[in-house]
Amino acid sequence: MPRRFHKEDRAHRARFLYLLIGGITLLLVGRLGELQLAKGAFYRTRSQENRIRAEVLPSDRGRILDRNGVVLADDYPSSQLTLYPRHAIFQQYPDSLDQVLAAVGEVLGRTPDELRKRLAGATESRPAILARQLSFEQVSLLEERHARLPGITVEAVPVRRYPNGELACHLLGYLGEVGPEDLNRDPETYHAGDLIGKTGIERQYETLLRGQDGEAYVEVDARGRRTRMFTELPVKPAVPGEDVVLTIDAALQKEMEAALAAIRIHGGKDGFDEQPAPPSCAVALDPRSGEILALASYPGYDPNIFVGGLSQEEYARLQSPGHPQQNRVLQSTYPPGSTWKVLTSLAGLEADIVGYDTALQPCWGRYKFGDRYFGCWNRGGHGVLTHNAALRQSCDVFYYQLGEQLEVRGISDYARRLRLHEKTGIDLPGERAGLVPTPEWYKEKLGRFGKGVALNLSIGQGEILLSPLALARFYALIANGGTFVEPHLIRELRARDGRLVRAAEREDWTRGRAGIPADDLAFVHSALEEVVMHARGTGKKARVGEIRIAGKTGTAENPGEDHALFACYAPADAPTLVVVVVAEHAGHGGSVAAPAARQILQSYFERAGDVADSGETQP
Amino acid sequence: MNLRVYRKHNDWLLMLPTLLLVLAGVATIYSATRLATGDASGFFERHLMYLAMGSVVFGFFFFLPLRLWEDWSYVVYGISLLLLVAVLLFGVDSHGAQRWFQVGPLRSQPSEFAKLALVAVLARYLGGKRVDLSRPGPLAIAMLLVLAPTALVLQQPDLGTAGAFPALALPMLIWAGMPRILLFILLSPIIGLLLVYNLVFWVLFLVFSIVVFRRSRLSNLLLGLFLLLQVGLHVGAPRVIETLHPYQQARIHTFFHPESDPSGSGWQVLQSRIAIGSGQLFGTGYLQGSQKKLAFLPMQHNDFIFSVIGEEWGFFGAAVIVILFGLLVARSVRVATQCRSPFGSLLLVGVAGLIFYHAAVNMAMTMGLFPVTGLPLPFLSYGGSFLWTMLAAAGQMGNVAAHRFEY
Repeated sequence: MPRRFHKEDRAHRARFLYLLIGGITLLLVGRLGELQLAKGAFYRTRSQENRIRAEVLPSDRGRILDRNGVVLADDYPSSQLTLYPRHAIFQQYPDSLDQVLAAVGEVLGRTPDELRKRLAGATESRPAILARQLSFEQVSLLEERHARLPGITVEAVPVRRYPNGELACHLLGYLGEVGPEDLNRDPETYHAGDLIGKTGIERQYETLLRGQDGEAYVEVDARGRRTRMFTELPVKPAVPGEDVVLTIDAALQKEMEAALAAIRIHGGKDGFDEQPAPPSCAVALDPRSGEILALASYPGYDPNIFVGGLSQEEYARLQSPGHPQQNRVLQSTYPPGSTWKVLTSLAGLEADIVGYDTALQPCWGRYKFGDRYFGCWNRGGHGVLTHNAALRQSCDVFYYQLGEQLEVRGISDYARRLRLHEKTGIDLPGERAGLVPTPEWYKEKLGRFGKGVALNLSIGQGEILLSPLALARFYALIANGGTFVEPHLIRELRARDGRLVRAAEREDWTRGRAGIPADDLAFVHSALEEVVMHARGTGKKARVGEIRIAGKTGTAENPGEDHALFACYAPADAPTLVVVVVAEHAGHGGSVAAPAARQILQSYFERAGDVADSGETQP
Repeated sequence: MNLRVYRKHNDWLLMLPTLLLVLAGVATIYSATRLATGDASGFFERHLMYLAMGSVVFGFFFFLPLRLWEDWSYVVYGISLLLLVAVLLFGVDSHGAQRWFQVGPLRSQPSEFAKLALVAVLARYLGGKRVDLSRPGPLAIAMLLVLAPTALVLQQPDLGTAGAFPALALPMLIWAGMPRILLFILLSPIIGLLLVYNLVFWVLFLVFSIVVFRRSRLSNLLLGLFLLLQVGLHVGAPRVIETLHPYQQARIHTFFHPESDPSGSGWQVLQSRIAIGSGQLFGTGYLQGSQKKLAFLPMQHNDFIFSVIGEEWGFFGAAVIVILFGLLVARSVRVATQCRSPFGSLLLVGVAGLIFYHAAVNMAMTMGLFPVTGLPLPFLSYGGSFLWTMLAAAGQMGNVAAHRFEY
């Protein structure tokens, strides 16, 4: 045996090796101690975070119902495809995300880049929604490939549905993906990809309809798949949204929309051109309470198209010149035309410029003011008219004289007292206030201005602008004896279990009184009733059987063809309904707007059973 | 074959830790493949099958006459080199590396066989009567024997396995009486490599080397060569790294900057550290590891099985595993000092080095102390050819121990 394998040599070398082995063992045990003992709590927490994901439990959105319980908006179950792009599997294998997107894109018929854009707002607990409203075929294809597609989930989710299509679309509004401003305003509630009410009732009562999302903790595996609910942490249940019951009467709404769609422009050589219906709008409300029974704008759109994302074609249609998305009742303003003469009369009576039977200078078809002539709509002239007859026949010359004496100040002060320059406060977003020009406004706008503007103002032409809704509230004020009412759509809020949360119908919606003398109002009533009921009344086309209807036609001059207006209320002795119809560039109020109003009134009174009873009102 | 010697001299201090480690492996693989998703993939059952076959391998080497193994060692070594060449030419491509032979459903890794062959051939050569490792000739031959399989495995390329050859050779060379200064010179390239990106320490290391050389009264020529090699390494290594496979580069990068990339290649290490750390003192309990159960751990039945142990059994369990390996290897050294046959003594040190290299590198890797090399944990990892290699090594240990009092 060679020298180098002697015992002492071996012992010497063995000591060296023991030292090496001992050192390495100590190093490893030391590292174990560092990880498990010194930093163990830290890694324990990391481990929990690793496997537990907070998931959002979306709340059920409340329904929207009409006053009789007709469903205007509800949810139906649909499938959507979600992806957790932040999941660890994609961080470990960045390529796998591309593969998943490519595979999913194939099924959905989208490019991976399109899908990638949808990943932006996703967080640890909120997946990106790659697609909504999957078809049955898409769902089965995805389920089939699910095992090879980490991080994706096909979920059944409620999707908004408007079962009546275009019916009441403007007042209902629609849902869309939440935009940056809402995200910034309320980052607690809203997250990218969430749906939010964009307009209408959906927007107005968003918070109530939405309810509150819940949160649950789920355990997930490394591929991002749920393995079980993690019950060690409490579940925050979702609070379902409340049902909003509207004052709307769906049947009347339907009739109103049909009436608007049937409007045809009168004009051309034959006096009648077959053209598509012009843009128009109408509102019907109860003058006693301000409850809106129907509110329509034409043209409309189908709110269902927004749910799944717009197609090119649908988008183009929404951008068309008719502006289908505009709710003309509150978002458009028009010169009120002759419907305004009621206000001029009341202002004249209050200022004691005229009495009920005062006759001013006779009408010869035009009125000379300074060196200008202001024409009456009746070129032949009305001759000598009392105040009553002037209102009934809507004689411009009479009102020019009234306006001349009231001046701008007299008219604007009175209009402001009737709050016509304010928003009505309707519970819909986007209402536009009208414009009631004051002397100050003219001064600022025109510098110096002549007295002539008061003449135009007196017949509701010129710079003055009112929304149809403001006009309706004005007529409601006349109809109900001088009380301001706030037009509104909310009737009830009901919890999902049917419990009444809010009974808006029992609330007081009056907002003070205008202080108009009862005699003055009676004077207006009788004149307006004659507008419709008199054989030569301008609004006679609004007649419905023997029901006493009081109304006023209006023809608003503006660039292009005149706007046709008609404002009325019925029954004249105890009004329960105010109707305002405006048709853009459609001609005379009496011939275009009044027949549409008639259709609405007829529908209302037929169902109230009043047509046969010839004018008896319901309590 | 004299079976009485096995009863008389069987060393339970070697065999018992081995058995415990194997059993711990069985239990942990059972746990690791029982995922929350319920998909066991049959790993556990197959591991038991491999283990059954492995026990045959163990028995073979346990009872193999050492004389025979010594006599045939050169042939075995030659065959192993041929297989390593063949796998480069005909092997199965997997993850950008050619490591496998595929025969029907069977895969085998010739590099595993080469480890055993190298131990045998080194034991045979270094155990020879006239081999003096302080002389350049025998040293060069020993080097050549080590470098041949190392270079071939590097060609596959498999960094971790290639490292096993020098790692098992080193304790054998020490055991065979290689001068300490040579050990220093042999290790110096590795030290130089580790300091490639650290200029200050590298210069200090060179100064230290000069001092060591002067004190050993080695020729200035040798010192010059040494310094030349170090400078070459320092300049060349970064370029070689550039030619490495991207996954190896990623691992090297992750090793030097472990926190820089928690989502990329550092993910495995991070998840593994989370698993081990979350075990704390007593662990989450057997079968209860959430990291493991939810498959956050990569390769948890294989390369990262130690993480599962750390998570489920805590510090106590994991430390026991580390200490079992330490005991096993230290006991091997102890038995080697008693061993009368130079071949047997060297064989024991070699297989112990082989086992310890894998164990230490694997455990260090799961704890973020070492790059992710893809080396499994001896006796515990799910296995085919690697498990058999380790059982063969254990068989040789028992064999040498039983015959340690024979010449």
